[in-house]
Amino acid sequence: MATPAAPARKRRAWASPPWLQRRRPPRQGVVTLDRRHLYILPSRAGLGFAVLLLAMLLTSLNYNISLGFALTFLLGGIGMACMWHAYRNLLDMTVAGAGTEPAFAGEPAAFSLRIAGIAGTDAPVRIGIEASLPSQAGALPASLSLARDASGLLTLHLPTSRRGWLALPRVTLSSRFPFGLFRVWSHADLPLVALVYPQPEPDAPPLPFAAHPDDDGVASLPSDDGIDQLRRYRSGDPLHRIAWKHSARTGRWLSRTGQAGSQPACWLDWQALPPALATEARLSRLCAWVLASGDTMEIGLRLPGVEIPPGRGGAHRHACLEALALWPDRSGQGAR
Amino acid sequence: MKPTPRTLAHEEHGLLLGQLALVLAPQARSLPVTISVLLVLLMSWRWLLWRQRAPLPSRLMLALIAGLVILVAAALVWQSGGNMGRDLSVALLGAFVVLKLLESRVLADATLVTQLCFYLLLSLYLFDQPFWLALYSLAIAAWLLRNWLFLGHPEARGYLAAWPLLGRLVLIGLPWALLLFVLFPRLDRPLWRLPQTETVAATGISDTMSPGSVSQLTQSTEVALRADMEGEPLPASALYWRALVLWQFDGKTWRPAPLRQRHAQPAPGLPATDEAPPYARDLGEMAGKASAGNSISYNITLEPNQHQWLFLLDRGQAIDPGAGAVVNADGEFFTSDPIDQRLRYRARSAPAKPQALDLPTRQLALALPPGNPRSRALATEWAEQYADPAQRARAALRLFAAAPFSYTLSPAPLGREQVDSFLFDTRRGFCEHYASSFVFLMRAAGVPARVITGYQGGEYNPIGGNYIVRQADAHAWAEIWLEGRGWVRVDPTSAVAPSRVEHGIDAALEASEIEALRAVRDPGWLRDLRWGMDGMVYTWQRWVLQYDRGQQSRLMQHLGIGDSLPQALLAGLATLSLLVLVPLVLRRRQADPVQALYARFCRDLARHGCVRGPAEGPQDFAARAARRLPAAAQAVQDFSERYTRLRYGRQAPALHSGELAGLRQALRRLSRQLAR
Repeated sequence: MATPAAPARKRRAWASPPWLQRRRPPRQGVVTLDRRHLYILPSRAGLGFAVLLLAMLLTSLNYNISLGFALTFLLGGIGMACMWHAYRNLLDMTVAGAGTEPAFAGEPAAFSLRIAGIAGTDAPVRIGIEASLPSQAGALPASLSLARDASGLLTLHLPTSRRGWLALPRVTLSSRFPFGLFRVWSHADLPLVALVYPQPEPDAPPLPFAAHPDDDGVASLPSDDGIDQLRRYRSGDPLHRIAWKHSARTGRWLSRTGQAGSQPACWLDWQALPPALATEARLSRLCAWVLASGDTMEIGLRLPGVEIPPGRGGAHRHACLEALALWPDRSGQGAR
Repeated sequence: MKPTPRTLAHEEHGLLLGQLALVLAPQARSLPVTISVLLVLLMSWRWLLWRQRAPLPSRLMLALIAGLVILVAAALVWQSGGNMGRDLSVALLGAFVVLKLLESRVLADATLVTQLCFYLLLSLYLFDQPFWLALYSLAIAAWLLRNWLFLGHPEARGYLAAWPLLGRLVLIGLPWALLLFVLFPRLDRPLWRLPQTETVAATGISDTMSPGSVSQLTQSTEVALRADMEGEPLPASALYWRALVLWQFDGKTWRPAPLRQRHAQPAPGLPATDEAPPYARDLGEMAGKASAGNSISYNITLEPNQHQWLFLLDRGQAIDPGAGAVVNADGEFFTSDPIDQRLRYRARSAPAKPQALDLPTRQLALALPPGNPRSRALATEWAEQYADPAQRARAALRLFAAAPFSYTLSPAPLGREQVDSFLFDTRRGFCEHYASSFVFLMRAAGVPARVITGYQGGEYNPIGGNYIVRQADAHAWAEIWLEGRGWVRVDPTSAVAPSRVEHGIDAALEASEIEALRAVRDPGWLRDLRWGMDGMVYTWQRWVLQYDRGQQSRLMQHLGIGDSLPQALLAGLATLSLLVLVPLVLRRRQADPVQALYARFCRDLARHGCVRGPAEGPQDFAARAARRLPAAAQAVQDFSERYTRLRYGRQAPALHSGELAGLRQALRRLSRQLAR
């Protein structure tokens, strides 16, 4: 991470000419590493091996050692064979996106790639397939080996800093098997995006439910008599509001209108936050509150232009976090 | 963030240590003792650290040891007179690889150590290249490769076995290796030379001859040279491997004439076709049977002996490689450097042409030290009695042939007047005694004469088809100069013990003396075994070890490639490179045979005017084609059904090979019906 940026950029410019930077979008969700898109060059160890062979050759030449020639040329032949084997290690491999895990800003987001052979063909054993993100200095490469005709998942962890959608940059798939003499690589531009939630504010103040009584406190108070608080189900009512028993008995979908638990619904309101707080700080605090609410408390979220009615559970929490991650964009729903 | 380099596991350290030990062990054959001890100490230290799982020593410590190693090496260089020999260079490299091992922590270090191990393996061949070493180093190289494979990819252990993979790599690599081995140009002369330090003693015959000294050489069965020649094996009596001409006698020791040796010119090379020179038939009149017929071409593989002279059949005419070898007027052949590795050369021999004797040579060939009055008197008597010098020589041979002269390897010590003492008192001796006294007598009788040293005879190995000449076959004989015939070979030993010349040294010795040799020269079935082994060794040397520029160019001539070696090499490499691509092409073609067949089906129908639309499914297309081509409707439907079943049916790929054949047949039927 501490490497100066300028030499790295220079090197990258040398290593990837424009024709290599053309995007390779997947066809039917799959990027195939066919031979038109598989590149191979000797690695540093390979160059060292070449120097060694040269030294062995010169010694053999000078003293005319036939056995020396034999050993040198045999190793040279094996080196040539390695080139082919290294190439075959990645040849006709397919890479497809296999899902992402959302993360909080500052934590790494996980991108899963499915690695397999072309359907219907024999795939060799593939050793040490390494996926890396050359454009992301902080991302650790992930590696994987596959048995014959097997497929597997590779998970790349990409560091995050900002909330919102995080697209997977170009992935470089490479391998150095066998002997590390050659590096074979190819690229895949997979349309994978991960959602990055705002960073939860550390040491956030306690949840503000006491400070925000409902507008009409009477109606929301829980009542002993549950019947007259039923109403017809309206689309959008959370699952846990559905009165299952009554619905089954009456044959109509019914929802409860009142609070089922002992605690009142708690509105997390953008406007109610101290005016001095900046946008991201507000989102951070709201995020921390959403997390702090846990599974027992019903919360609702009010952002400028966005309102999520009170609810609880994993799906509800996810909806809240997503709204926080994408605010002020509302196009987040189903846009991936 | 760069991924942190992988640190080595305990077992990997152990493997590295083990492979380095195995690579270094055979070096002990040739390394100076000091360095060997140092290496053993360093390796033991590393081993102890490994056993106790102790941390590696600090950089400072290693720097100190490296300094110590350099000091020891410098001391050895100084001791050998500023001479950094081959063995010392190898030893230094070995020491530094061990030091590198002592600071190896991560994968990159281990890779470097492994690669250097390959170089150390090669350096084993610098001293000699016996057959066992080839097998040993092959095994070690395979093991090194296996370790290297898992060192770089430890995760591969669970997925594949190393040996089949290495076998495949070797199989693919072998054509490259063979092509390069045969065609890669060899050098005529070295680019640089690290002299062998004088730890290796010179062996074989020396350049002086003192008949009085004890004969140790004769007992050794060590191989001096091997020779193979075309045609029938020669009789042993024709096998005089001539090396040196000794002119100067001081009463005890015969020595060469340095000025004559130095006055040499580049030896003539062998022409492509040997032309036999005129041959004086009766050359060996007095020396038993002559070497038969015309000139002889042969190959000699000379074991390293640290001398500069070459052995050729009497008399050598030409030698190949001619470069570097010189020949003088006396027919002695020399190399420019001491022979410190096995040398193979091709030579041609033919009887010497009659030569005129110039005055300085005549004086040299008649010069005698004072002393030995009884011998002089005898020679003077012959000189008066016989006008013909040849008859004087015959008189001497008759003298030796008569009792009580006999052949022995353990002669009695000679007195102060050595020739007199031998001729008139002890009368028992071996070739040196006879050659020395004969030449003395001849010179005293006014016949120009000189002593020749070399080997005589040799064991013919019918399995290898070659002669094995041992140190025990060392021999000395004489040459006298006769008017009109030049220098003529005379072997006085043959007069005493003809069997020595005809059947080798065993036959010439008395029973008790043979016992001494029998320990190493066993007869019977063991001899067959020994011949078999030696034949193998010789074949190995001849075709693998001695494959040099000369052999290469001969092979190229034979193959008709001639001088265009680089072109042939490049063409071969290009061919192999293209061959590597074959699997890629085949792979593509065989990607999906079902689809390939369907493509042919569509092409066939398109040729008959029925082109499949871009969005048309196989069944729709087949139905349309069947309507359009009613003659082939059934075949079209049949093929289409089979195709649909194969392509969209639920079947394991391995099961449908029979179905695939059916599909292929259906296509063939369709083609036939379409053609009608």
